[in-house]
Amino acid sequence: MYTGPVRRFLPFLIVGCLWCIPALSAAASVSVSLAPEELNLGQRMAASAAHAVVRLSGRGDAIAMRYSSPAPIDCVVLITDGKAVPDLSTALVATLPLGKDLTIDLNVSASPGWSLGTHEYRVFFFSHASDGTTMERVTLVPASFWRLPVAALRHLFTSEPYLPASYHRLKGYRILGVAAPLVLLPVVILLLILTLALRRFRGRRLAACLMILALGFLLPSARFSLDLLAFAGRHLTMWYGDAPYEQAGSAYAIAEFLQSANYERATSAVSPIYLCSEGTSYIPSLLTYLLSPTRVVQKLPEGQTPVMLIAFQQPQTAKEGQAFQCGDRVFNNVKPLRSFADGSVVYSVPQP
Amino acid sequence: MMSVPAFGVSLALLLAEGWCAVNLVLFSRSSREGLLLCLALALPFAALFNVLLFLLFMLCGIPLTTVSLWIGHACIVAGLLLVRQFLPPTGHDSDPALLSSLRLPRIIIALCLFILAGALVYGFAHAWLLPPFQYDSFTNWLMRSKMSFLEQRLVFDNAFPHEAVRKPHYPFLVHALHLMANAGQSSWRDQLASGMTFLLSVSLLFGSFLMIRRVVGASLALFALTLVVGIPLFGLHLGEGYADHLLAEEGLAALAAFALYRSSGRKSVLLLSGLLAAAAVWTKAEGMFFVFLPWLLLALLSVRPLALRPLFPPLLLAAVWPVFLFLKGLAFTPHGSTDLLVDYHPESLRTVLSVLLYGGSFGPFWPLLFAGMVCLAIASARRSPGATFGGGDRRERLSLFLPGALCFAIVIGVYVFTPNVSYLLNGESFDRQLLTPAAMLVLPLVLCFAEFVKGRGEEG
Repeated sequence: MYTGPVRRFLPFLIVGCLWCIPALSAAASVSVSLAPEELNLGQRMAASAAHAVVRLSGRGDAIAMRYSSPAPIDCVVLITDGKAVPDLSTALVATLPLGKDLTIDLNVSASPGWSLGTHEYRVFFFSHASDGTTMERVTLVPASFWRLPVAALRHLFTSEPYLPASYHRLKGYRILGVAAPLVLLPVVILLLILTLALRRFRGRRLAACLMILALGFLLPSARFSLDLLAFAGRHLTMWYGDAPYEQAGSAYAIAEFLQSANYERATSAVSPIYLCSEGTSYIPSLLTYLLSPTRVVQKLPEGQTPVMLIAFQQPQTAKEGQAFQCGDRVFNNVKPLRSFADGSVVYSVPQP
Repeated sequence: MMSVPAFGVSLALLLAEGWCAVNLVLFSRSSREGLLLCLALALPFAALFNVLLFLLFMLCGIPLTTVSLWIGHACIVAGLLLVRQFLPPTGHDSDPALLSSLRLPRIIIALCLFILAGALVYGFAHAWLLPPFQYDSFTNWLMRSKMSFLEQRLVFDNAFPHEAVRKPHYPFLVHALHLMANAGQSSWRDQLASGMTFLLSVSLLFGSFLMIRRVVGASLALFALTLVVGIPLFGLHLGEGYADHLLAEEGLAALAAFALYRSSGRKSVLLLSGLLAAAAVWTKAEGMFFVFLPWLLLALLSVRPLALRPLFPPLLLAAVWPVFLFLKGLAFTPHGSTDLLVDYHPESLRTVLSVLLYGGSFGPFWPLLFAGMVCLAIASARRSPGATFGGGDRRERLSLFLPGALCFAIVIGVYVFTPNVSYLLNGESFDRQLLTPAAMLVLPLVLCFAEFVKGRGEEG
């Protein structure tokens, strides 16, 4: 009779599959995914016809909502937990379908920031319709025991975010809200104790312990290698597919455009390029490098006019001959030269 | 349009120069193993020569043009070949006896190869095929290189028009390599600069592997390399030039060469080790404190006074940099005088522990490393009183932990006892600076393990 490993572990496999069925069938009918790293809520608000925010607090693994809408609704779920600046790498996005009196469950356990405990959520709704959208009920659904293993597995295989600061510090994997090493290390310690205690390993205890330690290191490293390969594939696809490149957006395309023959004389080292952007100094620093020796500035003395203006991912635009406002600075009679895939626009600014 | 032949010329000159240097000074021509090691260490050595050439050009006021760089390197190659004619060969390069020829289980080897492949694919793609993305790449490193390329001289200030150049007082091994990679190009090419840094990384890692292999065999050498490259943050750094991973690689290579010196007794290998440690001084401001001084301490404690002569060239090479800084009136530490304000910052401890125990940058590396050390220590202590520790002096073997331990203590000390605590708390530099002590602690652990296995085998 065949007593190989498959037959030996078959009962466990069957139980595992049966376990997953309720978890999978209980999943939201709307697919949920991690928010892109360049998520900009301000931009989304400005671009939507109508928006709303709901705050929730409690224990649960899904958010149930009952609503009606003549157009799809983009939904962003942030796990805030009282923080002034929530961690956007744990945010979820989904698109709710249009319809009347629809009931949807949004699976929040898909977020790597989720755990069984109490959480505070902020749920943003961005509708494409200016009226007719009503949100009747938004509540937390108590956690389902069936979902835990699936959630844990999903967390383990959630990719590390790739950010401009990743080279300083990696966020690391979290499983049900716990840092992955804190899940792994007790398992390693338990295996070491069993190895030292069980008679079965007599004579080869050291070898077994070192094997456990080696695997304890190599398996997480192998997991991260999967992410490294995924980054390489994703970035090559973005770059050679002319798509916006992670948080850099269209910065490289903007620099290439401005350095092309037509504008080389215009972008002399003497006249700076004005950059209208928000957020950190990442984009200004990147564009400064790409366009150097041409200076890229975000402030100009009153009376000084730049030759070019880069409106980087700005919600406001201007047509030819119109004025473009960036903060409290207004540039009159601008001429849009080129628009980019991430919503950025390059304008020429007439000299006085 | 990128000129591939121009890059080819620059690379060929560097490799020829490095090959001649390694071959001439350190190894004979007769061993295949020695030839591979010459090839692996050619670029790191060429990078050192490149730095010295740049220094000479600076002193003589020669601009850093394609012609001056190529002629300069061609002269160095010619000079090395000429010297080689007059020096006798060093004799057959015999391999030292292996500490251990242990073969690891296939699953371990397979995992090691997968991890290394993932890191190398990522590094190659991001260095050669993709644009710079990480913050410090284009502020601290590529920006200075680009400005230096455009002005045909190394930039040492951040006054107008260099206000975007950060850390202009940093050593310039990496920047010089970037400039050499871009020699012959009509405009600045990021990919050539980053690609050259990647080649330097691969060279140092391959060279370390070959040296460790000579001591403990291929299996354990592969495992040791994977322990370093498999650190999540290390793999990520292979893609762009921050230089923290280069410091770690130079530290690892210097220690690997030192272990090989211990096994072979050859003074030329000690010289090799010293030059690799000295290269760290020219790579990053921390290189002197994190790599070279700990290495020097190890060498002074380990080498007999009468055999210290091979230490002088590395000492001289390392000493030139602080003298240069003094003459130029530049800061010696990354952040200037604030680095020397000593005060205890208790708020740092929690973050230090979180990075070491469960942070994403290292995963379970540090707890498992310490656990491995404890396991080996307990196992060694429980062995029969008459047993030797692999036939060698135990204190000698344990002394290899000294550079890594010292580097670790210095890194922790810098972030707990100086204003650099802010960079720890905001997650800016602490994690990546821990890469160097991590790399330098892996090697002695693997060597101790190999020693232990050999000792058990001799007991029977």
